[in-house]
Amino acid sequence: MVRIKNRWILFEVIFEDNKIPPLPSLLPRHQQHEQISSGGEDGDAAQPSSWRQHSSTKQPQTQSNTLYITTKEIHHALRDSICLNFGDVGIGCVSSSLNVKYFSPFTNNGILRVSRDHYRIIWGALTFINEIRGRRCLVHVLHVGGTIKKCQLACIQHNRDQILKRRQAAESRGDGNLEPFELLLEKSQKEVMTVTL
Amino acid sequence: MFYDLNIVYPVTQSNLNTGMNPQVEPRKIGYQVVAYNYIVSGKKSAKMANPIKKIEAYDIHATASVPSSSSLLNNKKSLAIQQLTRLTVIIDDPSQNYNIIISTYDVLAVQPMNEKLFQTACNNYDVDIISLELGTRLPFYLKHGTLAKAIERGIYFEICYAPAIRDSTSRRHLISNAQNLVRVTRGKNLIISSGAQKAMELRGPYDIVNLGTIMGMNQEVSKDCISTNCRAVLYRAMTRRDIHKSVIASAPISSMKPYEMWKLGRVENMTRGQQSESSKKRKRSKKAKEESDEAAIQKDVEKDDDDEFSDDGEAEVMEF
Repeated sequence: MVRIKNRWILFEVIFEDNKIPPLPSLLPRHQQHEQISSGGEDGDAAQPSSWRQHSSTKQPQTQSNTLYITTKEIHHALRDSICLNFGDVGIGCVSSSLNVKYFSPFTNNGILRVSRDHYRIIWGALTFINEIRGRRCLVHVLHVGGTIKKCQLACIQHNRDQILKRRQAAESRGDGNLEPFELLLEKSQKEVMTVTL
Repeated sequence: MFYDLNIVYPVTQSNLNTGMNPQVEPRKIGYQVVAYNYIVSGKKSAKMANPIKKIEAYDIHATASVPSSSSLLNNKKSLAIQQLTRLTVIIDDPSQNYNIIISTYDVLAVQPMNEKLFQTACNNYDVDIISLELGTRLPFYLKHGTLAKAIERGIYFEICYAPAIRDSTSRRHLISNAQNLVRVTRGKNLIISSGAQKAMELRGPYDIVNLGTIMGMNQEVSKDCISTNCRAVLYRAMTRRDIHKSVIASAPISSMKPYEMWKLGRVENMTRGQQSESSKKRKRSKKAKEESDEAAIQKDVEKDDDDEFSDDGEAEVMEF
């Protein structure tokens, strides 16, 4: 019996505007409650996939809402890019195995799965992505691995580096009131490790 | 070490405003060496100054304006990014002069606009990189005979990927042209660089390796195009610029180590040696040592007669 082999790609999206959506804990009370309850429905608070849907139906589209980019939107952007650059054959090769497993709008890291035979198509398509939802960006692949585990570990490592770097920057600016480093690290670890096959 | 030898230099103001400066960004996505590319076209006087300003905070050679041979050789893994300057001359007229104070730039490239000039560039020009506009339809075929001549002379060909990221038509042209170039050069003497005008046109080094596989190279060759080959270009440029007749290299006195100071014929007054940095002295290979720079040593001996540490034969003769 032959297994279907995959490649897992960990990528980072760097946006030109460099904006990060406000954390749920920083939003006004009622909004926060609604968002968390609706986010909790699919059992994964890390992926606010239903937040945008919810906001577009009830509230006017605000600046902060456009910043929440979901796995679905990444998937769409990627599909469009494959369609443009590799055509129908590209889509056909890839669509059965392509799956964007994780994307965090706060760290802008994501993990996706694709069959091993065609991962170069996906990688090429990622390279050619120019904008996501009208925000100019570039996609930078951080790790390509055979298992999701290694991608998760690489993601945690990357998050750790980023936390350290930003803390340092904040300290040099003289910002007090920082969350303890261990807490942040644990948070990122928990969030990344909830992603499963 | 990954290199990006083409970041278009006059950075437009809109980029600076968004805080995404292409001069800063490469560091974040994994490049260690960048070259800012200043492009000139038409006839220019030979006395044009180098307009490129480096970002001081990111520069490991903040003291020396032109990285000398020794600083390139002693390059260690460093947190800072190494910034170089590059001049690209667009040549569309055979009478055009391409060596505009080349010594002030680290890398020299030409971009010939027609087949005849391309041929002369491959055969005769003393440059480091031949760059072609691959994002448009090339007006001529690339022939192996012509390119082989350039490869023999150690000139590198450049593929800039930024046009492919900008729009779809140039993407088609670029992939087709790049595949031709790879086929004709057989994967030798190629470098891949960005040619980015905006930070968002840059891509990470491994993304470029993957892009190279799409252009018909294999992964290793493709990786060489942004690492080893670029390094080779820098060494070639260094040799072209600093080394005279491939025998004598010159370097500023400041780059000499304390135990080498005896070569200058003085030990105690090292401070004076550092003051006269601007007057470049020859650092010699062993054979050429005695002959090449006796004038400089003689002058030193004349200046301080009581200096007894000079161990050159000629200098002793002078004292008698």
